[in-house]
Amino acid sequence: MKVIKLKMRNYIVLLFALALIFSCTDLEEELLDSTTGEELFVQLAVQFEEDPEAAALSVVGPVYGQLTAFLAQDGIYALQEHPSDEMLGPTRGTDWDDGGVWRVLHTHDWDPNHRMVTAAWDGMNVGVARAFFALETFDLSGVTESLPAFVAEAKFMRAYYMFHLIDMFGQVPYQDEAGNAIVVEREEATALAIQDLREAIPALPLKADQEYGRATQGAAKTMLAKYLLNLEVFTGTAATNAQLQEVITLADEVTASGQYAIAEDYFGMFNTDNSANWTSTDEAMIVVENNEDINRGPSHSRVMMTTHYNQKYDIDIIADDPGSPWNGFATVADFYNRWDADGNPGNGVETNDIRFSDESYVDQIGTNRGFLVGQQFDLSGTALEDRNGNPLIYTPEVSLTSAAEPEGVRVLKYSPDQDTPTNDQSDTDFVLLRYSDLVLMKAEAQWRLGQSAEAAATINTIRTVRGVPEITTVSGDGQEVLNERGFELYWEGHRRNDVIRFGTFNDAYSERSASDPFTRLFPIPQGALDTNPNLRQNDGY
Amino acid sequence: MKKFLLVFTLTTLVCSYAVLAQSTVSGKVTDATDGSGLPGVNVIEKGTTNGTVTDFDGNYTLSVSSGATIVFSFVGYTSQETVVGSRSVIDISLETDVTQLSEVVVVGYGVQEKKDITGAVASVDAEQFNRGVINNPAELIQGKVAGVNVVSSSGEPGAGITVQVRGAGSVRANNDPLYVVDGVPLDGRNITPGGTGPVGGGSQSRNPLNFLNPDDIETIDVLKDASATAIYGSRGANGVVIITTKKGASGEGQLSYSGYLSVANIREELDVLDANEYETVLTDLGIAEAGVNLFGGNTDWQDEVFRTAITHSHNVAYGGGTEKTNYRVSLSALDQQGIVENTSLERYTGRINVTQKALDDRLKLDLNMTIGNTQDQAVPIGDRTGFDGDVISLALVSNPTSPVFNEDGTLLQRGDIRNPVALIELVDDKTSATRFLGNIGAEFTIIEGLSYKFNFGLDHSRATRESNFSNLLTFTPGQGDIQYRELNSKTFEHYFNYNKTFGESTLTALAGYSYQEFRNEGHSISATNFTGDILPTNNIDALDNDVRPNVASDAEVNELQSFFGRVTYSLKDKYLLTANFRADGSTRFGEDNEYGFFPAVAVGWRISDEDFMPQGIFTDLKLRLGWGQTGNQELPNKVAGPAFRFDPNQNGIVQDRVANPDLQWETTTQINIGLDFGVLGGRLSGTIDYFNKVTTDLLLRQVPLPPAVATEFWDNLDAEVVNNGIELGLQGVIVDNNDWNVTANVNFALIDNEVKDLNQEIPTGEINGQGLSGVNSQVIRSGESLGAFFLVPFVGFDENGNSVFLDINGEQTTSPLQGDRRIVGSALPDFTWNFTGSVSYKAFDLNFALNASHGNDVYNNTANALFVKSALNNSRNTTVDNAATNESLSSSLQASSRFLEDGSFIRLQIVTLGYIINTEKIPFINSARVYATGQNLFVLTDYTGFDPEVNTDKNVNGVPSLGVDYTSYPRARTFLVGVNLTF
Repeated sequence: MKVIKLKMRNYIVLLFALALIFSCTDLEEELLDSTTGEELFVQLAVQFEEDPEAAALSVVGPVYGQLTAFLAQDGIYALQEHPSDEMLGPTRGTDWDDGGVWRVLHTHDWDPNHRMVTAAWDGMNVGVARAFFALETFDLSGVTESLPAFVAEAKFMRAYYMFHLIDMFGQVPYQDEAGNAIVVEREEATALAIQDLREAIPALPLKADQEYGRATQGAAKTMLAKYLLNLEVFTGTAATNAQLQEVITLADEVTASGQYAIAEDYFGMFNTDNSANWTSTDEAMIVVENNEDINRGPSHSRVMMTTHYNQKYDIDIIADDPGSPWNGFATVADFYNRWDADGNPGNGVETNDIRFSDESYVDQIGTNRGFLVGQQFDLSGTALEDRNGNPLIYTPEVSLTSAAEPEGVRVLKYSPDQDTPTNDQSDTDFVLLRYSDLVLMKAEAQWRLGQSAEAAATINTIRTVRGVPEITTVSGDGQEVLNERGFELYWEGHRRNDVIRFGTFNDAYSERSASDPFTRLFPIPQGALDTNPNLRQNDGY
Repeated sequence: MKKFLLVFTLTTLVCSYAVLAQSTVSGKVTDATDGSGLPGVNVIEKGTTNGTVTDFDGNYTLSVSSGATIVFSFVGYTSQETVVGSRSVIDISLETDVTQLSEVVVVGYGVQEKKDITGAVASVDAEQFNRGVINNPAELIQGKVAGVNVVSSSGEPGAGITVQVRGAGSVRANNDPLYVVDGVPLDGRNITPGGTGPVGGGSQSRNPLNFLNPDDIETIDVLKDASATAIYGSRGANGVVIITTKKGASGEGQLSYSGYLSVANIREELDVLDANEYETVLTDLGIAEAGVNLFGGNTDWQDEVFRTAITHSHNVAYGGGTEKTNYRVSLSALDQQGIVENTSLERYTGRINVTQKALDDRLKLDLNMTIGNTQDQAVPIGDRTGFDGDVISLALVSNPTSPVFNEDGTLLQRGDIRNPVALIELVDDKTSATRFLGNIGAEFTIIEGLSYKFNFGLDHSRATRESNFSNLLTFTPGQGDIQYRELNSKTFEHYFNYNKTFGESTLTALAGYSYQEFRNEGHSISATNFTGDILPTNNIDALDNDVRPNVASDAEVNELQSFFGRVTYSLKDKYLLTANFRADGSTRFGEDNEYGFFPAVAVGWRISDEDFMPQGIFTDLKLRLGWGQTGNQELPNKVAGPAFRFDPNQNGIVQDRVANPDLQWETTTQINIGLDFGVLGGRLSGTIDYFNKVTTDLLLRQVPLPPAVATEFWDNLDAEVVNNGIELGLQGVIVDNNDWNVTANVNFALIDNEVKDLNQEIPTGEINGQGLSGVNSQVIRSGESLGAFFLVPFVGFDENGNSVFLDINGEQTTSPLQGDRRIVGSALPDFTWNFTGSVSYKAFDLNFALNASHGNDVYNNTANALFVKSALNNSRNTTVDNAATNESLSSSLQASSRFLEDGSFIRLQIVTLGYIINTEKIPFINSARVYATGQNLFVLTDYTGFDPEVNTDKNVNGVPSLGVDYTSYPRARTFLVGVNLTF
């Protein structure tokens, strides 16, 4: 019995000892799946010693990562398109009302709680912040001088994200010299972004010397031109003649660099394999890189958001059961009719513009690309019906609040990725900025300088490639420039900015009455306003 | 005389110091009237917290210090005290006396006699537990404690359960109480992988406590107010539920068996159009078209997916003991079918509880171990299903003229909608979860009155979910998902208990240290593009072309280090004081706020023991006052400090959220005023409590100050959530004589909830369904209650059948804007009540329980998404009521007050009729009881969905919703027969 007692005592001692070993903590949080900042900077410092370029790439990479904000059909992309005259999201019976979020975009009735307003604000602000973070990291690592091209990339991307904040919200969260969060007004933000671009341009490589999708001198010059053209909207003061002349110079320099050309294959720019096109004959400048190996988000949205449920694509993912699109967005009747080239409105839209329709994909998906109108067919050529058994005939007229399934002309610009394993893993990259945009900016600058014949000639460099008759002049209101931008860049996320700059944003047209000028800026999201005393609500909201 | 006393005292002291002896006393407690053994009698060493309860036959064993006095007490009987002296066997017979009330209540780190309790604490023992098909401990006490609201998220076997003690205090996740099992505070996290497959909109939540066998539970104590819960500090704000499992009784080993068999059905199907009605309605509307919306069949889709479910449960326990050792082992098996085809829950549990005394009884070792394995078979029924539907939504909207099968016997799958039977047959989704919970405790008496206790607890769970989606199913590529989750937590506790009686004063003190570590890790594999009939998860690399399987893993750990103490002081047994304190350090808090401090103090006054009180009116009258501060630290890990990781999607290293070194717990300050009373010779007794509970420093995900590298940032807001409430519990003994016993218990709770000083509006209550993306139904707003519904007011249909709403100016509109929404109701009830009645006559007993809730609204998301007339335009079904309206076929399904319904109800929760069989002539059976139970027999309500008592998880960014119903698994009506035997 004594022995047992002794043992018992031993156990107690052991328990005590165990308890003390295991049960004391300094409450320092242990991270198992990530690392604290300090460790990161130590690792990075070592890497900057060993392989500075690779280290710099890992710092600047996430700045581009935020471009995925443009992927979804219901984020910043929607805000840049739906309020304009080329896209609308009608409520279709039980579908697509979504609490009215689409309707209000068309009628300009959004409020500070609109979820896409918040999504756009957050997406662009994180992009700006990541650029700041990359620049700080370069500074702290002491490589700002030795790796100027990487620094320039971060500055370029900061200016790119800021463009959207300036364009949509006016006020831009920024950091002062000491790293404090401040808010800069529209005019100052514009100046800061232009300064970023001017500093970036000399340090950036040409497209031929740059990896696919990363910043180039051409892209930076194009963004600078864009800022200069938007000066009146952004600062209240119209661009000076010298500034307009600079737009022309920038465009000419980019053209002269030999890195870009107006694409011969218009729809090829929007093909699934478009990442292979980073050549001197391709237009791409900034793209959202999608990758079928990585799920980055709704990379099939541009295909799914528009065509009818029964227009199923032979996507591999759904090998025995083709994927069903969402029957959502249509183009506005006014915009559609603008394509009509034969002067006879009674016979529908007649045009030879290769941008309007492309048959090259019919044998793979059963439908053309571009504008989808009239009876739709499946791959075997059988006429499709809607879910109620009515023929699936897309019509230009579409009711905003109670559209039947086939109402509205659809726009299929990007090709469906037929090898994608899931809907979120399309390989098709989305083009955010391209060369033709710059060419048309040059034309716009020429028109604004009063050089209407030169402007027409510049526009014609595009029109000839697109198979449409040349124009001879640009009228006083610049309508030809705006129209050509629509024909060339439709549904690519530029339209809202364009119609504001041309003063037609608040006009009445199909399914909406004229709106108040204050809607040219979106409201500051309520959540941001509640938590940031430096922000004030934009006028009118 | 004085001299004698002095000598006696000295002798006692000398003896106790010299010997420090403990002796073991055992015996049997019987009813003085009939000599039968009394189970559940409290046996306490006077002036200490040392005690036990008698077993089923009235036997007990207790080790006491020499010279101890033992107090035997039991509700409804006169307490007896007896000095142990040299006896080792003390048999006691208790006289029936309805004037005495005394029980032991488990409080954190110890027990207290109920008469000494100063806080708001309720104790429910096994006798009072709800009976029936129950797979969760919370359901055992549903309706038994005023102010404790237990709501199942759905009727699915093993469904998640929301337990709210005194209302919701937090605006974000986790208003659940802390669960403590045999002294081990549990990690409240879900142990099973959630996640979504390609169909069904996610899965509905499951309860992490399903692994406990309800039959192993002895008592459940609920600590409600801060003066009681402050001993659990930063986890005490939502109340504490203490579960104590059954221990073996000394004496010869006893075998017991309990089991039941039940049959369950859906209580009420929804009244959708049948095939004939459907054809008539479509024809009248002029849209009938064969082959498009009429298919010639006649299918009741609800009949196709619902079934009669059979459940059986078996428990075997064996317990006994010697002077030194007590043990109890048990095994249980439950095989529960769900009322939806192909859903079930199987559970197997085993438990071993051993108590060993050593070193002359100065050392007491406790070992409690349980292991439970649950196997869930689920079908796609989700919280957030969209256009493609889940089993419930498809059973409601599928076209009644569409046959289930083709003529060749294969499943008929149309291109535009899934067949719910196909969804059941072509999806295989099973989860196997095993959880082990064990603790070993050592209590050592250092000197008389001072003991040290060490407790080590281990909680380990691992769960694997395998989901298979056949490629034969419409819109599905053939997918297999395997998800694995493992949770490990360790608990170490050291504490000292001291108690001392001097003069008319009794002092007890507790001081301790506790450390807990929680690890949570998991991984998953998902692959698509399977063909054929194999179960992908059995061979996940068997793909027919180049596949990119998705793999993911995660791991996190958090720690909690605490110091705690308690002092109780009682003077003349009339004036009572309790003070609690805890300091909690958590790795979840920011570096500038490592420790939170949680004090509480409470006083009690037993007025009935005062001389000035006239004799005979009050058998018990006690006033309690308490104040305390508690916390809630249920925020995610890794939000206080910076965390970076490599993300290939973002081309490099990214930061997920912005650090906040000031981050801390939510603080809840609670005042409690309570009165316990007993009148009419104790036949009517009760408790009234008023409380005021104010939660500040609300933990919430915020938008960081841009430019910030992330959009997530956690912060404490200055806003307040205030809960004011009154709780009333009444117990009445109406008749009590040799043959008849009639009792009635009533609980009533009225809680007023308000959010104050919140400088922002927080959306929650997401609405799902086709055309309802991104729509929310609730808002958290200053001046309103949590669970406030924020919707456009619905007026009716105009002459064209379009929905008409009120805009913000009170004008009618058919296309409302988000800005037209206003507060139109609340998910929180005005008041709730429960009534439990029991009648026994000789060997028969009858029990029933009613639960009721009044004034709460439920948002019928199911109706919003499905039951609109435009569904008919899409060849889908709707309800008979909806079809009878003049709603237009092109009307949209704008979320509005149209779908907000009164969720008040009165439910007959349980009726049980039991009979105790006379086993005197059956030699091998000691006792036997048979019973029949009906569960959920009827519900009086105006709510048009399956059941008003529902809480589908519709959180937005982790901010929980309340009172939204969406395609939830309906609750069953169950009939059950069972037997309890001891041998």
